[in-house]
Amino acid sequence: MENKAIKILVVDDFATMRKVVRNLLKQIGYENIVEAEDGVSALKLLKSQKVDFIVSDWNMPNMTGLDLLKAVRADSELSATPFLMVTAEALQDNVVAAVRAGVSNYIVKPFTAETLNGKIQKIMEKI
Amino acid sequence: MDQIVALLNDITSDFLFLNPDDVDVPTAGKFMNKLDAITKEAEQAKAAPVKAIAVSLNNILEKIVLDKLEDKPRALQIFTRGISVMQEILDHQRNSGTFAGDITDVLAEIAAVTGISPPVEEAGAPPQPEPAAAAEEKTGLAEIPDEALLKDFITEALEYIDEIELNVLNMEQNPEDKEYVNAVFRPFHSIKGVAGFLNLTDIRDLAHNLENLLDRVRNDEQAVTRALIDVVLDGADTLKTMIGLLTKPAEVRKRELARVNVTDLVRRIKGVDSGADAGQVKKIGEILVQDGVINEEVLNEGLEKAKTPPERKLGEVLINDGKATPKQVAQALRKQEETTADKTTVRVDVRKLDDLIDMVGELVITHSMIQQNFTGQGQVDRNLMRSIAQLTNITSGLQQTSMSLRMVPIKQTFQRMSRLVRDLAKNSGKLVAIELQGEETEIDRNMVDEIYNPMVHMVRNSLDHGLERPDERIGLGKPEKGTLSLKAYHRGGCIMIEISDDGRGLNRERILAKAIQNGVIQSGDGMTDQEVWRLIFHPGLSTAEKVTDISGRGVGMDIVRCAVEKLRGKIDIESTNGQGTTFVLRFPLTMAIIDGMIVKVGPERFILPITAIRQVMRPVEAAYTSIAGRGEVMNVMGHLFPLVRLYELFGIEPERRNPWEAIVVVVDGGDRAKCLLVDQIIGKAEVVIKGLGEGLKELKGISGGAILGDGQIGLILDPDGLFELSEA
Repeated sequence: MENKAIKILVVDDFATMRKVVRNLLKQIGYENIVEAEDGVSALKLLKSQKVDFIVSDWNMPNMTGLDLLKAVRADSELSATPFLMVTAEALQDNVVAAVRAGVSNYIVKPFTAETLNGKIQKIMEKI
Repeated sequence: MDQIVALLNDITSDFLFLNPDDVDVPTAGKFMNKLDAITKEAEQAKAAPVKAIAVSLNNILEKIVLDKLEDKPRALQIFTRGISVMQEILDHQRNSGTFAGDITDVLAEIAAVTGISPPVEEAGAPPQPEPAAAAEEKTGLAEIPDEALLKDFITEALEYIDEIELNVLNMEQNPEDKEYVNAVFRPFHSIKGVAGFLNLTDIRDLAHNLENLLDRVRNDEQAVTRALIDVVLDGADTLKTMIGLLTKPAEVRKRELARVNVTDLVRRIKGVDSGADAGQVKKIGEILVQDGVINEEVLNEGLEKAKTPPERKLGEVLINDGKATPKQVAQALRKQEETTADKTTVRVDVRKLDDLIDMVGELVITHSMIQQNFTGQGQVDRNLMRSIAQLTNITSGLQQTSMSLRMVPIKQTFQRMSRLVRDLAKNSGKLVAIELQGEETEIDRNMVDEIYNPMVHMVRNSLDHGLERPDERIGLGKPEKGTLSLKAYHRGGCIMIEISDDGRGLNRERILAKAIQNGVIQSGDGMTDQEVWRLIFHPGLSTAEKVTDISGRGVGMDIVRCAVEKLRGKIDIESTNGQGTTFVLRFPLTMAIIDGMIVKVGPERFILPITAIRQVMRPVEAAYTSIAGRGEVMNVMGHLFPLVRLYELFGIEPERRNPWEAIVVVVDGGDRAKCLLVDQIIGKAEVVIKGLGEGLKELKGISGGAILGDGQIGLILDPDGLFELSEA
């Protein structure tokens, strides 16, 4: 069942990129969106409010997307949160590392609203 | 061993309930982790066949995750087979105690699916950058050009690019610190990402190329060389231009973009020499071979020698071996410099520029003459006045532009210093961080070469005599790494350059002892620190106890002082014992114009360089003393200065002969100061310096002439020369 009310956290250090993702999410019907500019502030936000889905960039200062993913998976309260990793290229090493760390799926920049929707649907179906 | 069996059972039971389509990313991840665990256990148990299969099976999962499998159901079948083969092997081991079983078949099958040949011993495939297949995907935003988003992008991207410059410098200084490389990499990466969404392909591609280059640096495949730094900075500049153009209308953008030679830049980015050879565009050896000075054989031989300790430069080796003359090497070096020069600029003969600036200077003066003529008359046509006012604006604009033609940022000089510092630090075993500030400060092109040598000397001095060795620094409670900072800024029509170190500072006692020993002074009593520091500029006074390979050889700072004064500059020293030394250099912005004070002696007018003037005053009668055998002296605030009567030197009939009726100007020249007696001060003026021509070159006391505001000629005084005349 599609649930467009879920709260999605968009993590990226580049504000324009967060806006891009936000716009795409809105296009496919997701309105409940929160943002964080790096892994550290994302974790802080996750501790303070319930988030249903995380879309995070890989390459960020302070705490990379991979580190954020590991931290989320290691936290008993957050570990089940779906995590979609945004990468610039499908670099095998990166993707495999994220998969090993328990990423729900990954998506390669630039992507369309349809691709994004597909990835989210697929992940949400499993829950 | 039981661990492996348990893990295998785990995988099998999980797998039984899976449809091929169900193998999604998280599931694959779980299997991968389990296979990793098996690989580890198998390695400890020396179960090579099990390990080999586990590694290969992981390859299948990786391909699934990356969506690189053509026949997924078949791959999963083979995956199941791999697991059962592992189980068979383990069963056999439990019964017989040995690992046996033919795994060649199953490994071959897995390899056929993944396209990765089974590794003999090492696990895992080498990192292969996959082409960005998805980059071709059309973005959903393309059809809806989002103005607001574009604006955000421009603002944010420009901010990011500004950060790059700073971090590039940090990166250059600390090439081993990956955080700085990352800090340069990230903005390009982010810009590329967003540019992809906004369909800004040209920006995306350029950022992508720069990002790749820096990625190679991160992976230690590319050294941080000067060429790399240059190309990254140029790349950042070009990106800035391209992003800035996004706000312009399409046709302007197109036209301007055509002028930004991106293709050329991309070629440079791709062509950056990965070698650690300081990133020279063309190696010195290549140029020498090209010029026919040496052949390949000699070059290779030379390179070998240059590499074997003690390491030397190739040019040095070739000269030592008599394969090339110093002149040939110097020529090659110059050629090399030329090829590294920025290609987007027009090269103009400096003489032409000088002529232009000279003419503009004349124009300015003629203009002010015309203006003065008119203001002297009562009734002037209003239209004419308006035209003259407009001419004033144009002339001053023209003057500024023509001056700026010769101005270049001091960056290049600073970068050369950084190189020098690095090399020197390496030679002397000291740890030095270099800090640069105000590199964009502009300086007359003509002065760049002139200030180079004195700066080298001072930098060497700081490194050699100033900064302590690391162990010594630790003992003193200072950071192990010394800091040398270069700072440039404009102040009051002058360019200031500061060279500071946080080393041991100047030693008053040692300088005084040496000065007394050399007969420079009789005693140091009553001397201020400033005066003591200035002693190091005295010829032949070098305070370093040991003459080192780097700066020593007894050559003191007097050479620096001479060079600086030749440029009409001044040099000051600030030093605190144990905390460091700062050399403050002050140069006029340009060599073509002088800031002067016009003084009058009899009917003649002279120009005194402002930089040489310490003080101007009308003394009281009591300040004047005539000492038998030592001539006339003036007491200026407790200090005695010899009095030089300008009219006597030049044979002019003055208006006033008594100092207390005339004006006394305390002037610095060489390493001393004296009082010049003049009739009166006319005022301050900026004048364009004119040479006096070949015949009068050696004239003492006069360094040139200038046309004053009223069209009359004034001679520019050279204090040092005047003092010499007065002493003769």
